[in-house]
Amino acid sequence: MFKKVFVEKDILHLKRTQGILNKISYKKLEEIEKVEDIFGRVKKPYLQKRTELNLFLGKKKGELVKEAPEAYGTKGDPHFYFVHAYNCIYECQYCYLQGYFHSPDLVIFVNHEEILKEIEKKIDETDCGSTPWFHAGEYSDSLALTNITGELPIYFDFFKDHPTAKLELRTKSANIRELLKIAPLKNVITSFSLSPEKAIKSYDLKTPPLKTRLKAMKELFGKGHPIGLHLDPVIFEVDFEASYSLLLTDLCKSIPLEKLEYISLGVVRFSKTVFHQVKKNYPNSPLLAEDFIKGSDGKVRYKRPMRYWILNKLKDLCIQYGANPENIYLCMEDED
Amino acid sequence: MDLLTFAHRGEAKAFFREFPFKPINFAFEGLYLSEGHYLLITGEGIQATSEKLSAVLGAFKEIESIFNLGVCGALDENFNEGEIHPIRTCYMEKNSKMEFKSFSTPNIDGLDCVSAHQRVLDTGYAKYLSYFAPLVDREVWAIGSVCSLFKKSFYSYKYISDNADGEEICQVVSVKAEKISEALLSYFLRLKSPDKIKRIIPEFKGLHFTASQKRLYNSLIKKLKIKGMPLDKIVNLYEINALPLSPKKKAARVLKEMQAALFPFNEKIKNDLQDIIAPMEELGIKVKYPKSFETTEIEIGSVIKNGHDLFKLIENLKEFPLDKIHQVLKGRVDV
Repeated sequence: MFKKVFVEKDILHLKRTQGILNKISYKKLEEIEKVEDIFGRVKKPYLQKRTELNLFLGKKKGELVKEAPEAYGTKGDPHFYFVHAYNCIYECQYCYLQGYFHSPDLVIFVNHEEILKEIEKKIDETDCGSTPWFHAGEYSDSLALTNITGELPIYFDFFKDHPTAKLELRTKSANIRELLKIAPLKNVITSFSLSPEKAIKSYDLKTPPLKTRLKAMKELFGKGHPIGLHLDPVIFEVDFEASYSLLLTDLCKSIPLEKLEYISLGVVRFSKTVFHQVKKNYPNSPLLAEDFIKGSDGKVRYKRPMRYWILNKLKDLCIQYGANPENIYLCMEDED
Repeated sequence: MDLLTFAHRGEAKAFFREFPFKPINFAFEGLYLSEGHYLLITGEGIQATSEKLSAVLGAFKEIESIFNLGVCGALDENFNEGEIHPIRTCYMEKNSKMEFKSFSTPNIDGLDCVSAHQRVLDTGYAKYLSYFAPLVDREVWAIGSVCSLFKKSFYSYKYISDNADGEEICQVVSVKAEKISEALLSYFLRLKSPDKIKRIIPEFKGLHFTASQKRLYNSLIKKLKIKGMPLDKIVNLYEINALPLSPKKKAARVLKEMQAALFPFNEKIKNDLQDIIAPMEELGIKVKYPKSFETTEIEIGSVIKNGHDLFKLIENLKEFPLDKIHQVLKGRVDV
């Protein structure tokens, strides 16, 4: 339940807005001029999301589609992300959102048609022969609230008409209800971020358990939806190899690894600001007992030999379990 | 030592009765001391509170925690007059705009409060403030701000005196002072002393930690605690103390063993590199690699006295195990 829902006056009457309001419970509704008049105006502690969360509904302004950073996705193709929501219902201890918006409140934007216009422009600008990728969920989970927000059919319709472009829906949820209602498309990939069960319990607070996510993956795969996998962020444990072996064994029961569109591997990393937030929000987190360094790029992460050791081990494991080496890439790390 | 702060003397009435506060001769009136507590009457508003609290915290270093007690208005109809709530996060409004900075107390279950620069006279203004917090006062943000500057912990407990309808707060306090002050006192007396984090400073006989070693020790001991690794199971202090080393070197040894226990992978990398480098060092070639391991750059040093030395160095460098070093730095090791 949301404590307050703030809705921009201009969109209150929209069917889409009313559809969202009808599906959620809240204590109070406030009409506002613009989301940015209230959201982010004050620094609201991140962990207040545990006790009271507000929801903002509005129109996304400014740059709607942005170029993704280097080594964000598969190599050689242009990658973009689009923003249709801010913040997440989950509480992952390493999440960069805790240092990003200065507020844990959720923002849902409803102007999907404008976002799609921008996506179309990027597709038109892309060189022939390369595949532009569009990632949802840079600032939110792509699926967690889709039964409330209802935007999936709009994006599927668009990408059906633009088969040269790809859409990635990135999630830690198992909320596939809406996806199951839609006919799969080859160029719309649902990618799941997985960690060993023990790591999920320790770090990915409030996210669904591993077996629920695996079940969702199996179901979607069975219906013909292309599936991607993110083993990211990997956090080192003494039994790291054994726990990932177990994860991959379980995963293979849901989907053969060679059937995955891609596997992305990444080691836990933070910006300096986010790491400061982790210290503040989770002072007893095992993350704070790790041997991290601050690199020349400002990122806080494991030392280089350890990062590469983890990634190489994991890559070898995935191959051992049947993954196609061509489909494995390292996220935010140079290939060795 | 704790400091209790009140905006108005009326709010503190019961505290003066309960504790034998005596005035302190200070730069301004309003500062008192009794056993275990200072008490400060700050006056109303952000500026007065900031000025007086800063002066007191600057002068009385023994003050560790600040407890702000006083009245506030409710901006939300769900909260009623007479209730006392701990404050969680405080915000500030100035000239109808919100200040971005906020300050939080350790009371995560409390309510948020916005400190307004002006009295809340109209409903539109009250509505705007209510977007950010359910309570409004005139001081608590200043308390948070000054405490953040002086790195002191602060707590705030607010008695809801009205519904932020514009009534003069001084008037409210003077009329209801007795009732408000008694309620605040009994609330305060029920509060448990907050746990204070004790600083961990190593005090081992026979060992000497430099300032940076102390910092490292404190950081490592915290990590051991998180990982549930007791120090005495990892480091044999008696054994280290018996070594024929200087107190500084013994301290360094303790730190090294703590690091080895916490970060075995790192230790493995260091040892592997040392094994590769050792034959070179025997030949008089010093090899330095980046301590952070973030680059694969290495530095080589050697003393050359004559042409023979130079020739020897060139010959030895032909066997230099650069590939092996790079493999280790790229994590190609057996663990």
